[in-house]
Amino acid sequence: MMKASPKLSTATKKKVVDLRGRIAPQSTIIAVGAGKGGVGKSFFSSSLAYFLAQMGHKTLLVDMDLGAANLHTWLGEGLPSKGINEFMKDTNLTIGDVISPTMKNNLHLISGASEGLYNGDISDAEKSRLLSALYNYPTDYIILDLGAGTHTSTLDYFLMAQHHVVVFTPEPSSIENAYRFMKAVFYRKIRRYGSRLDIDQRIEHITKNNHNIKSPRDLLNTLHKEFPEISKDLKEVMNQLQFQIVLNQIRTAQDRNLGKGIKSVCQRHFGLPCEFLGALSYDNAVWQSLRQKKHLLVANPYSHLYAQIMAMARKLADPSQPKNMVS
Amino acid sequence: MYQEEETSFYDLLEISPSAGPTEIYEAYQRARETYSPHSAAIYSMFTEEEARELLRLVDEAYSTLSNRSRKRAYDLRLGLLDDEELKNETPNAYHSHPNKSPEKQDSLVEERKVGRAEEGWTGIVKVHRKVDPLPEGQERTRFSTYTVDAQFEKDIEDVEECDGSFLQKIREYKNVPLQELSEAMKTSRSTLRALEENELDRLPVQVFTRGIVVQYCRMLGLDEHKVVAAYMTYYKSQKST
Ligand SMILES: Nc1ncnc2c1ncn2[C@@H]1O[C@H](COP(=O)(O)OP(=O)(O)OP(=O)(O)O)[C@@H](O)[C@H]1O
Ligand SMILES: [Mg+2]
Repeated sequence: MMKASPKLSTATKKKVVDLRGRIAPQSTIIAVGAGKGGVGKSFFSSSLAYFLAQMGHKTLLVDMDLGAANLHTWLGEGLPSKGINEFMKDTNLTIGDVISPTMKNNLHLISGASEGLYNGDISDAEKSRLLSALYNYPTDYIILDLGAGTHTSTLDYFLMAQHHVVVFTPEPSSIENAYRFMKAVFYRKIRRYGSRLDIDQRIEHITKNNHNIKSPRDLLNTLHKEFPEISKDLKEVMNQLQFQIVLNQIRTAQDRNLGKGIKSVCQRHFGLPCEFLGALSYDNAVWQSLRQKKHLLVANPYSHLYAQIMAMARKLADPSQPKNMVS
Repeated sequence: MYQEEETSFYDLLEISPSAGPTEIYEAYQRARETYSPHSAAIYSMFTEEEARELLRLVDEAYSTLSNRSRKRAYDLRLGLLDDEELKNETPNAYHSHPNKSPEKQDSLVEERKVGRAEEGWTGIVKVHRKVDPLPEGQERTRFSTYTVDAQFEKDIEDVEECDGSFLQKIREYKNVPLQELSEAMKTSRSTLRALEENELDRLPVQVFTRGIVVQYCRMLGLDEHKVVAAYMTYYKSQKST
């Protein structure tokens, strides 16, 4: 995987072509998803973006919640005049035309607000145009704040990133929905990106032969054993998907263990390495600062959350951080 | 006859084989909490029964890894100890021919090989445990026992291209009835017969046929990479003419 070095200025960044002839993205893209609304995706995305900008990285925060966008509010900004909607409607616009600066140095925003645009209304061609515009936009970090649910567009936005963050809260319904989202992501990935490996046919073959497949991991293991000739490519494709788990709104120390437990369960279930990025405390200051139209990190730098988010931003931003890839 | 169990206990507890006692204990506590019936982390991912099974495995992992000699025996079985170490401890096991070495060491060698070859996605290792000793010169498949014919074994080993009749010859050599094979593979007898009699038009499309041959070889305990490749070479040459 190619990773844009944050030290490089955007001007000197060249298009990097990997071994397969694919063009590597012009930034490090971090997608933030969840199964359920209201768990804190926007809070986390905006906070992460804030810290990355603080650390000196040129950061673009994109509100991909096309139906009900509100990211500008989190940053304490007014509603920008242009955003994703305008980009989608007017094919003469480039992605640069709809980016707005913010009060924070290095931090830029693409708003998704104004009147509703629904995932279901977007054609494949429109979706590709948006994806490739973001993919080819040269900057240090792009953070995608996704909408809730498992619409295929949402899954594709999530999969275009190199970092796959999933936000949980300790409530069972949030956990269940997040797992459902992750399963949908997994199957979208294996079907879409494995299509050149005849994955559909092979999966059908395996299930017809009555192997005992209860989880994505069983599926991977069986594919890997039954079809050794694709095993290498399949591993390469699937190893790109490493979930990074954030547990938001924790209230007790025990909740922190829950985060580690979720990571273990995901690893067992998907058979892919996952990471527990960290836990975020529940703090009334979050909605209080929102009401003051200021970002929490500006309004209340003494919150526990400040250090917690900073630690996660550092983890994500450090390119030397070892990734436990499966060989 | 064959027991297949999923084990790397290390993988289950998410620790490295070099972890010390404290680390093992902490990992055990964490895993117990994660897979306990009321844990929120397993909610909707594992059924109650699967969770119970995982808990049982977690306990077994701890009772094995927390005991020095049991841990050592386990590491040996997984092939985690390096060759030198192993050679010094059981000098005959690694180098002698499996059929000629004493039974206990024999199965040790088998497991070592399996443990290394079958690394899965997260390093999960399947360990096959062999039971019931066999008289010298005999080998077994999961269906049958047969007398080893060194010449024919060599022919199989050297094969570069082979048709279905060769597969049939192997099956008969290993005394495996078509009916039993068909049941175990969940593949009809007529398909298997088409395979053995080279009636390629009655076989499914290439990936499926390949899958059938993979399973066929696996059931007969053959080096699947070799034999499948040999068969597919034949298959493709027939299809292209
Ligand atoms: N750590 C926290 N402590 C206290 N309140 C929080 C915390 N995180 C989020 N909240 C509250 O939860 C609400 C939802 O947060 P947020 O908008 O970030 O969720 P979301 O996942 O983006 O939701 P949607 O799917 O609707 O976009 C907010 O009103 C916020 O005040
Ligand atoms: Mg949101």
